Amino acid sequence: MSKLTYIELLNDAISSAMTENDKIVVIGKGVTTGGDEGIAKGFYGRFGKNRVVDATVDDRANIRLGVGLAATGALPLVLINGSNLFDCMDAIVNDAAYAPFANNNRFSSRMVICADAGHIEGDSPGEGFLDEGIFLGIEGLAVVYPSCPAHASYMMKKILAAPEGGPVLFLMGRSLKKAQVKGETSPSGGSEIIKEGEDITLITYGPMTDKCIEASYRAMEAGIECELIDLISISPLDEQVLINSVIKTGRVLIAQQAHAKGGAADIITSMLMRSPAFDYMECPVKIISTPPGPVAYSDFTGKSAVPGWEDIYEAIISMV
Amino acid sequence: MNNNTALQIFYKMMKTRLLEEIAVKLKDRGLIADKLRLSLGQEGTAAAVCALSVNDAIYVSQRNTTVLVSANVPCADILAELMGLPTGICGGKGSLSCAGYGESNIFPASPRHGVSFMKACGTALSFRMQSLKNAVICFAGDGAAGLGEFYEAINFASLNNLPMVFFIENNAYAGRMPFERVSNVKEISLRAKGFDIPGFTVDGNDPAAVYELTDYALAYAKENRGPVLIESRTYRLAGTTYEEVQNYRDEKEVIGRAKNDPIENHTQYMLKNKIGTLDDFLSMREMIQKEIDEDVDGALTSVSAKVTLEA
Repeated sequence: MSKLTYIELLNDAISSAMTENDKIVVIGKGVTTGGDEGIAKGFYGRFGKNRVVDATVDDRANIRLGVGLAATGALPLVLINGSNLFDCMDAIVNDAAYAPFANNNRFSSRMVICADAGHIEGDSPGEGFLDEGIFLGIEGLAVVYPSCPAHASYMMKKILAAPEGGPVLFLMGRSLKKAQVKGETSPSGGSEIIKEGEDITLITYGPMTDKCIEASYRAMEAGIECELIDLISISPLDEQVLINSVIKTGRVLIAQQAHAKGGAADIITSMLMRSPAFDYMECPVKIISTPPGPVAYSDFTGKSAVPGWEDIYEAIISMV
Repeated sequence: MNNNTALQIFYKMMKTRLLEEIAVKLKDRGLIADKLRLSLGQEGTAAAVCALSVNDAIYVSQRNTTVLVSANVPCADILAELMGLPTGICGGKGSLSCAGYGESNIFPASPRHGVSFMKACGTALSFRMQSLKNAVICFAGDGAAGLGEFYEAINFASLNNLPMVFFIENNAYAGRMPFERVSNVKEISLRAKGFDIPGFTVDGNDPAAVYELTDYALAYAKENRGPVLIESRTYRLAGTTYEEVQNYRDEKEVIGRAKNDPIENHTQYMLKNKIGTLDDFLSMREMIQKEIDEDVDGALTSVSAKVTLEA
């Protein structure tokens, strides 16, 4: 049997959660016919039209449909059309995240919003999403960005099985969706220390994680021990894990497949500057990220959008 | 409509009006934090609808005092919210434009236009999932009915035969934008045709007519025949907010439209049908005024309000 892909594993995680909990409703464009890349494959036949809803092609409207369901105690899972997140901001922020504050917690808006993020070749400017940072300051909204099929499945199961909570934005790396399960992973909370080390803390999440693994093993050959942390949850952050690591290593490199300004790396840097880890820092923080602005759709002209392991490796060598 | 219902509608309309009168006085004294989107002149619609929708879910628009009062949300808690106190229905955090009140089946609203249509669909879908027989009424204004999401929601609701009533209170203005300048059709209810659902326009200041139509619409929706679109024609006598400078319309227009007053219309209806005498209605008004005065005292018992009063 061939190994399961990111999407197949996620499909399985959602399907088992729906079997366990009949309050889960899947909403999105084309979910009755299997959803994008087959994420909702088999759901319509198994769970019927009330729980698998082809609503509109308007993702904002679909999120609000979810908000109306959540207010009655249902647990909606809204599958966004690709990376259409800028369009959805009002619904995610005001209708999902902030609404419980405004109505004094009289109604829940607990839901899961799944969207693609990152960039792959073929994405026209505006088709991918390299700005997840804009959601990280939103109080009441959790944001997860798993790096591999196993983490995605683990987080999805955990979120759907939680007894309560608020809205969660679940980002699926565009380059990860065909990735296959490999190796053993053991995330515990919101992050996983993939590799322990004494020399430098390498913080990453989502599709950059594989590249950081590659770079950190190359660095090991050069005699540098990286402590590699995969965040998984980018809001809230597992702050103590990061602080403890930086106190140990004194050096911080953050790699993300996203724009630098206002991104997760900025927020992590700011947090570390204000933490006790500041006193242990031996050099400035370095950030590997996507260049500013829109990204060209072809690899020929847009290659720099996705930093490679070489970029990370060079940064490690330059810092230690 | 039976006599009790007619009296109940009068009671709700009068209570809304007197509550808003007090709210304006308190606003002038600096005790109201809310922008005050007054229902003045529009009380007839909600009072009639809420007489029928006891077990149905309601999504309100921003201009919602009349719905909240008609759906039996305690007036002291409404006032407390207007004053921004922790005892308000939104804990003094959201203002009435974010009103949600589970005990009266009022689902959370938003200060942004037209975002409730799809939420209402979600709630109706949930009722269907739970095999509940309740309907969902979604109130919105003529401005919101010009948004794309309005049509998406009607399409979704009609496709899925959801038990819903889309209730558009066309009060002639969206902010400072006159309805007649932004719609190709004179009646919003005509837009129902494109979705193959029933659409009706009614004089929103004629509570008896609104009652009859809502009765039909709710029965229709609950028979699983799909949603109904109702346009209730009314007129916003107050500004968009209390402090708005109304330099976009002639005062004569407002004075003229004020003559079609829902409370006056309903009083005439009740006199004609011998439901009571003018004296009866006047003493009812006095009784309601007393209740409102007690509600004001209730809202003011909060410590922070006392401090504000003394200061």
